[in-house]
Amino acid sequence: MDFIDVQTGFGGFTPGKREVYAASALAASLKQAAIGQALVRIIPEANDFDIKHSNAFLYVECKANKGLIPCPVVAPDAIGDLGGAEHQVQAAIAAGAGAAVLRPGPDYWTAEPWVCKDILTALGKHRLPAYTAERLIPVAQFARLAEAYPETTFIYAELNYRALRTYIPLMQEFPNVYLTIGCNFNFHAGFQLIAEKVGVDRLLFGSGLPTSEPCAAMSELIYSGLDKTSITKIASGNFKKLMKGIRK
Amino acid sequence: MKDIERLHKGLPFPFEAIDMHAHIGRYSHAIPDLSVASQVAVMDRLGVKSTTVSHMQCMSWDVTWGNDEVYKAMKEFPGRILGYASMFPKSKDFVAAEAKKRVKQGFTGFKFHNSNGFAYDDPAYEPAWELAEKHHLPMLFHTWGAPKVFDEIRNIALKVPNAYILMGHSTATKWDEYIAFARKAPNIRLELCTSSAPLGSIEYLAAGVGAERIVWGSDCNFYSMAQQFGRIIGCTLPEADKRKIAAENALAILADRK
Repeated sequence: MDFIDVQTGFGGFTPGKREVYAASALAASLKQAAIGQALVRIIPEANDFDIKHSNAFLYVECKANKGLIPCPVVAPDAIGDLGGAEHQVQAAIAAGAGAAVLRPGPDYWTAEPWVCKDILTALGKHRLPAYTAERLIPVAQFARLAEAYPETTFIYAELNYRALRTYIPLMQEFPNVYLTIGCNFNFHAGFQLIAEKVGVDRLLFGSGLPTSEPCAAMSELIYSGLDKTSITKIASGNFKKLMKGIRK
Repeated sequence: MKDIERLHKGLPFPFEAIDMHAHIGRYSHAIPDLSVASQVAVMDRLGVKSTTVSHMQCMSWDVTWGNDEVYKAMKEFPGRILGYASMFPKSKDFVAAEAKKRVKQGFTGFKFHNSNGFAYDDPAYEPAWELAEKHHLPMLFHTWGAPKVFDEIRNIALKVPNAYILMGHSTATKWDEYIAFARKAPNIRLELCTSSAPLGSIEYLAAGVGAERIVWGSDCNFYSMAQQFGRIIGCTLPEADKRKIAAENALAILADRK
């Protein structure tokens, strides 16, 4: 089974910890679980305060470690210090990005449609998915972005295992929203329900590394009872399709 | 065949696992399929022999109804669905009658959950502890690392050396405290389930107390059983230790019933 992990990362600094989780360590964990590729971002992001430095580091590490696909940081650029929205997106695509991450809290902006028009429009124009986590943008705010920018594809990660009553209508209401199945996507018979209500074309495999055991999400998917075609789509096919759609 | 290869192929595991922490019934958040049959179906896909369930009412007051529902499931899937009888400390007489009835019906052990607002060492629970001691039964406690709860359960563990004390959710937080607690009495076992599946947690507990003191639980249908079993698949312990954790330690508890 071919897996692409879209919920993982490395390189973030945690105050008080002497070691930073390295890209090479992540690559080793992925190999151990036989996961061929991964969309990676810098995590944890709380002290990752220099976007340009962070992205440059990410690109170097992705080049050095086979199978890592960068997911660089982008942000609204009202003051022009990041070179503009179009520049950010083009630079990400040139570096081989599979998505770009929105982190409004750590990067000090507000996730409302009127704040991030420039960056979400540029992402939509180039079909580069906008990636974020529920921890970074609460679901009500996230839905407002998805509604305001229907041409932009959104990937929503780090879900809450108790919130299926919200995620099903989120996917039904916004066809531009994809969900990752990494930690804490954890539902008894959840795949069958999502398959029945919205289909499996907008679910993406995620491991939750380095905090979660990758075989947990793999096992949840593989032993879900879904047919092999559906499992393959979620494991890697749906993300490959998104990658193919990226326009320079 | 390596575990990871078996996982990628979706094959059931070569030994039959025993789930020592599971549920049936409805909870406030959405559980997509409440049928017991759906749990048995995932057990078949994984290679899980039996799962020991309590009803979601373990968190509330109507344990009699909940235990009746568990009993129905036990009869519908004999040998596959085992039952924990949930206890509510309305009074000693109530607990005594409910516990006695459920042991007679063939329940495997007792489940205690402090969401009901009562301490685990509430004296009203005593008749259940006494039955567990007499019949060498497991008692599963919902825990989340709270020092007060450790104190409460220690008081019970020391009174019932022949019963088994299962510490639910031992990998959720404070792993060192769980290890230290397990060392306090030989009848304590650490049960593993937690939704976030923390990497390295099983290995950490095993290094601290030994694999023979750990039992696997899924918390299904609250969590996904397959997701929680994946933690056993992925952990880096030797095969023999994985078997102990996933099956043999639980089988030893079940076989000890008097």
